Amino acid sequence: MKRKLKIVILWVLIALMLTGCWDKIEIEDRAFVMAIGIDLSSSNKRYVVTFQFPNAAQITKGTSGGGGGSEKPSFAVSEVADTIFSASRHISTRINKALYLGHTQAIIFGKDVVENKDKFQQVLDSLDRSYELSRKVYLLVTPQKAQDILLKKYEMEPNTGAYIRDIFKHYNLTSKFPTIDYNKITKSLHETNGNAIIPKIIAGKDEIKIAGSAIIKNYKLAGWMEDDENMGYMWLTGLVKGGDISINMPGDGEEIKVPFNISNVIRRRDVKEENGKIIYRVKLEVEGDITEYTFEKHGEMMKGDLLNVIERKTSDEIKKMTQKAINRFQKELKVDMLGIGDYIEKYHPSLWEKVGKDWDKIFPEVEIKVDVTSHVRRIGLFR
Amino acid sequence: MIKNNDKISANQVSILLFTTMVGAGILSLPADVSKEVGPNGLIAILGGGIASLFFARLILYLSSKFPTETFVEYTGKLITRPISIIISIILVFYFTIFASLDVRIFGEVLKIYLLPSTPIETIIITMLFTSAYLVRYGLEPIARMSEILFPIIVIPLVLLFLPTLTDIDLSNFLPFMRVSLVEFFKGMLVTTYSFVGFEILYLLFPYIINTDKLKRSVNSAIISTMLFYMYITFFVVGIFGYKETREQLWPFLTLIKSINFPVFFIENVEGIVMGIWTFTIFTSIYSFHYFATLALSKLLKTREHSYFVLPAVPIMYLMALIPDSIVTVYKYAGYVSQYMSVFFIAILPILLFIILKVKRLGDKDEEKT
Repeated sequence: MKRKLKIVILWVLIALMLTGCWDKIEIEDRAFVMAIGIDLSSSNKRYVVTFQFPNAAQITKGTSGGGGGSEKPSFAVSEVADTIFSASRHISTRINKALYLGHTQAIIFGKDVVENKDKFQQVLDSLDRSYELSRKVYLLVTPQKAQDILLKKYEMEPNTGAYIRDIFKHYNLTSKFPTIDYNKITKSLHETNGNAIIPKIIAGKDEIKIAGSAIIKNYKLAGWMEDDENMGYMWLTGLVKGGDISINMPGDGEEIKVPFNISNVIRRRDVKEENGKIIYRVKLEVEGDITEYTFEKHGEMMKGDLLNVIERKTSDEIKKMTQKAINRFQKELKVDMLGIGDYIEKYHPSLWEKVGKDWDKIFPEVEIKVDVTSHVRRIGLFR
Repeated sequence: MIKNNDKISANQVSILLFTTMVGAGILSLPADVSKEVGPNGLIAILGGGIASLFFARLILYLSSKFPTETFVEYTGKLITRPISIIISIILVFYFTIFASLDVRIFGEVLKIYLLPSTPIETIIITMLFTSAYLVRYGLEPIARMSEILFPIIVIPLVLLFLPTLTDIDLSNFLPFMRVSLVEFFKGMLVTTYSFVGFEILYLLFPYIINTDKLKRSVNSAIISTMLFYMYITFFVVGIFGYKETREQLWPFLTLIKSINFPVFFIENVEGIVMGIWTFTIFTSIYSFHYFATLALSKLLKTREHSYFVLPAVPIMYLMALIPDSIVTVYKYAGYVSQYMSVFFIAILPILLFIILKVKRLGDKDEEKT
């Protein structure tokens, strides 16, 4: 009798212990969000949050001969809510899966969000406090509505989040957008009290494009940077890792464009104080190769000082770019996003003690000198 | 009355100390230390480690003067029986508080990251019963458990962070030492919360086989703990910078969110780290659990400590549930480490040392320590 009781107790215990945890969610019941878009509603009071997630059912079916062609490869759903978090919860009334944000690759802010200081700060805080969101996500700003980007399907890669991530992977081919991820953006916002640069994204008809960047000053959109200006900013902050510059060279009759393909950049900085004026010096050493010139000039690369001319022109071009960025930040916006304050604080702490308190006032007066030396290392397969 | 099979070797002491010290503190240490000393967190941890080493050796020295007695007994000779009893009771509570704090923080973290719909009470009670099961069998199994878990804790945690090396900006540790001495001292003080645990040396001495090697094992335990903390703080501050680190609740876990395995099918390593971290905190909980019950059994002069193991579980359970929120948990942890830890780590050993010297008590043969 006693033995039987023991067995019964054991049975009950096993049943209780082995049934597993009650937190389990089957993988096909989860919606792995890949991209999130955040906009404001028309009255600017509520958020419109868009979640894009791939169709897990179709992925598990595999790529067996295009049989699942009729099924959508990816979904995007928008929800209007008072906060970002409530949007992620309220959306469960409309989809049959549980949202999981741990694999999110990109978060896109609509222009109206970054233009509204309070809302933008709230969004940022929501992202910072999230338990699920990874710190590796990419933040992007769009001059359009984030919803417009995410609700579209792109033929190249219907999974928009993965699409964006893959574009970021080969950033060093262009230097068209700063490769700043979430970690760096929040770090910048924390350290400079609300200033940051966020890459810009726009949607074309059948593709997306990441180029340029948005300037956030005091948690608010202060403007956009394109092409030269953007690259000038990247030169000054050491973000250029590759890409190309076009320089004008004399051709047959008219000037032709010659690309300088950047392969390596070394940046050195220095700060001096002379007669109460702070002089910030950036030295850039750029290495690269020439990949096209003109058919007519075959055989001239090895001759004379053609390479020197190219090198000098490249340096001038880079200098021009940096000057544009300096003008923008120093004269127009009067906000230090070139990392000068940060540099002084770290490497010249005694100077920082003097100027740190009213750095905002001192920064526009700082003299920024850029020295560029370029070296052509390779010229392609023809002399 | 010490059973023969319940003795551990000096090497085991070393590992037991390490696993006891590395616990819940690891989660918040980089934030706490960045708040006080800015970019010089690493140096503050170094300072805190050296200070801890000094006091650990002082405690060891005191215990070695009474090689067959634990704290409860030898303080009776040093500072009169009634005061000794009061301090011993506080010590029992002190260990219990740390076990409860650890188990509460463990519950909070696990609930957030792995088991969102499991009630925290279930997580806590499961952990405490697991600990009780182990602790009932005494010191030797505990030390052996630590030996088994030690590599499981250290090796993956050291390797996991390596992919983030490329994100580290060394300039985040500059400017070098531009903080006032008071701030720096404060920074050292907050690191003590993470070094809490070597107070078990008060009670441990009679249970060690080769006491001659003990100094070395205490040194290696505290230095390796310090290096382990410095390693993690290096990654945290190197990636986030101190200004952001100090605002975070658990920078250690935020760091894990930044780990990106190149060419690897696992994208989020949080699950793995939570598993490892469960061991980390488990080792601390059972150690505090054991030494609380051991001190109590010495106090009440019972033959076995195991009588108190199970009754301690509901007490720790209730204490773990006292704080309302995670904010109050850390508020209490702050009080305990500011007042009680400083007393047991620093003030008490110095006092006892002075009394020892004045009264000329203790075993003269052990003078070599």
